[in-house]
Amino acid sequence: MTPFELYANAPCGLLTSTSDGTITEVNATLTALTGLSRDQLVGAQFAALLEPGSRMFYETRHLPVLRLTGEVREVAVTVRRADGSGIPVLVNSTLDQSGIQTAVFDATERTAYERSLLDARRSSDVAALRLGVLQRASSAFASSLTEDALCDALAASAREGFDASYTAVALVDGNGDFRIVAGDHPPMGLDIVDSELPKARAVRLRKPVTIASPEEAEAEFPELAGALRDARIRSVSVMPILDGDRPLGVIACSFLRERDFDHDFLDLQAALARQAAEVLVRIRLQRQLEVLALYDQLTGLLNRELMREGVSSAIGKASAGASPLSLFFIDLDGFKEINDQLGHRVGDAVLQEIAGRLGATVRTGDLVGRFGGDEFVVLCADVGHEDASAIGESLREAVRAPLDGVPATLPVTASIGVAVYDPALGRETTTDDLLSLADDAMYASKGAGKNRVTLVVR
Amino acid sequence: MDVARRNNVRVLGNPEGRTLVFAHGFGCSQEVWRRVVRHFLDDYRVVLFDHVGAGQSDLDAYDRSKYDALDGYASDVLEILAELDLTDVVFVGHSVSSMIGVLAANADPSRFGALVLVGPSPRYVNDGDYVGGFERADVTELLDTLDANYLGWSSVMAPVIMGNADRPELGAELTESFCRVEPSIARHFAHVTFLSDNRGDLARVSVPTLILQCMDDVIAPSTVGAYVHAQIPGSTLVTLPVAGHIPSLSGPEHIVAAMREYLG
Repeated sequence: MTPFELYANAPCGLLTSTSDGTITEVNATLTALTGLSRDQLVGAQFAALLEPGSRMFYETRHLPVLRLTGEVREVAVTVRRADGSGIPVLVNSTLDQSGIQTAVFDATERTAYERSLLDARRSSDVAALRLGVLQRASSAFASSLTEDALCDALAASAREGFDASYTAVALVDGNGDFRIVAGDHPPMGLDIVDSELPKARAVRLRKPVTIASPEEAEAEFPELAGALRDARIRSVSVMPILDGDRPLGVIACSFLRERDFDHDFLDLQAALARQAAEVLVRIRLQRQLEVLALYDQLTGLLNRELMREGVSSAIGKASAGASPLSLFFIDLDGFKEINDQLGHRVGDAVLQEIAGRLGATVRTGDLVGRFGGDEFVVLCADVGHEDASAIGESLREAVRAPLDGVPATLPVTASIGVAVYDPALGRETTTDDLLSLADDAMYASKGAGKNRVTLVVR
Repeated sequence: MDVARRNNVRVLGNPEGRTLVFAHGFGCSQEVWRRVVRHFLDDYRVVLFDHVGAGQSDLDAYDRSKYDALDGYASDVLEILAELDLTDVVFVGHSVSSMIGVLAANADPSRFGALVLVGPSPRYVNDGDYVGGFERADVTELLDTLDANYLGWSSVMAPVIMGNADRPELGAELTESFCRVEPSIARHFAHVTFLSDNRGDLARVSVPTLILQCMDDVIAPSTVGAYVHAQIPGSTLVTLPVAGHIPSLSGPEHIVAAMREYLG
């Protein structure tokens, strides 16, 4: 009786093979397990009995370990039976000079059990990974004080969450123009005007736009395909960052290989974009509030506080650079009558119009502020008393010009006081000093009959 | 950054000789070359290393974004060559490392004298007329198998006495890290290995290339070897009389002979 006859019905499949895996003998348990006859099995490669995925594992992992250590124990693979069905087995193999001896155990029940454990573990791994990414993103976003810092945090979170080769965040302005704020994305900076790029499409559709392969890039975005190829990028996913329905920008992830943009992927990318959008809206609101606190709400000019800061810093610069500056204090004549007779709405419109005229009269870098009521202040650096008179006259003319909706019987003019500070004269000044000097000069203009300019030099 | 430590780089052999750099494939470490390199130590300088995540590499260096594509591994190869200041290198890549070698040689051909690609495949998944040998579902099944054998990956991490079971005449050798692979990294590496598509990189190879094809290699079938040969200009294809995908273990003498014949 040969060993194989002796163990024909052993409780496990047994086989011997040559050192390169060609089967030389099998027992009856193995023929029953596989549904293949002895004649079909002998001469075949053991690896050929396995399902393709198992075979990949067997060839790349099982065999090298067996060859180097002489033994492999409890390897879980799936055997394909004669009827095409798969049966999970555990395999023990030993290798010696006579070849490979292998025992094959039916592991159907154990595998079904482990499979459910494995599925549970995998889905909990995925959930934990996702949660971790979102939590870290959330705290990084929350501590971002500026748009740039937030976009950096978003780009970093997406890189971590997707193992992306490149991530980039671009914000969109009111004209639909994009500005890349964070991250690195070679083809994103491309300016292709003739066709719609993924970021623009994502923003237009308010939906993610994906490019799954170079072929898809060629078909969908032909003008981008070459740039992607040059950067070795094979797949891209672009998610819009939305505040409700309003697009704020996009987060783009690119990969050097083809990736599955499945539900889990897009869900996480959308969650990151959503979190970032909330913080972005908050940061922008914060900034608007800061702006509101420093600017006059009616005219958009600097308010008293910001104007005083501007005067203070200009005095410092003038002293340091030994250059003069001129401060204009402007009080409107006739404004009270307009308010009384035509109402506050017309009064407000007049203030807005005059604010615009004052700003248009001086240079871009000059400061124009509203001190309250119908008082305005203009500060011109590097302007001495020779030019200050001319500028004062221009400001006076600008105010005096006719106003839409205001009858000629209610003229508006300006009483202007100019204080010139010239460090070359050897005297010092302060913000309060200069402002009260200009204020006094303005009152002198009022007292002298209004609609005129009075200039004093400190 | 310490490249030598990161990639567990070992330099052996004759310092005066031409340099052979051996790169291991998916599922193993530099140990897979042990039976081949001993035949080159007298007249070649031999460089061995582990990809990050395998063997005794520095696992802390595993940056998932970097290693989400073979390009990350190729940049490591170039850094190793730069660190050792090597030129005229013969890069011997097994399995996925043959594509890593192709990418590295395309990025900086100046350091390479020749490529030896052992069981190369630029794409494992079938695509239209191209037959890589596997379907997408097979790769998913491989990932399941990896998970089911989770313990198997870590249990071979301990130092073992290697018996050279089928070659007792070689005696036992102590090795510290036989084919150690971190399971989560193995999973990611499996994704990157079996779902990459590097067909477009083959035609750009400009260094002399030897392709070593095994018989009955289900991972890299001979049709794929022929494809690689047809795509790489001026390449040489040699079929080894060895079955399976790991000729470095099942027929090392045939690799040695083919390389010596090619390198002269």
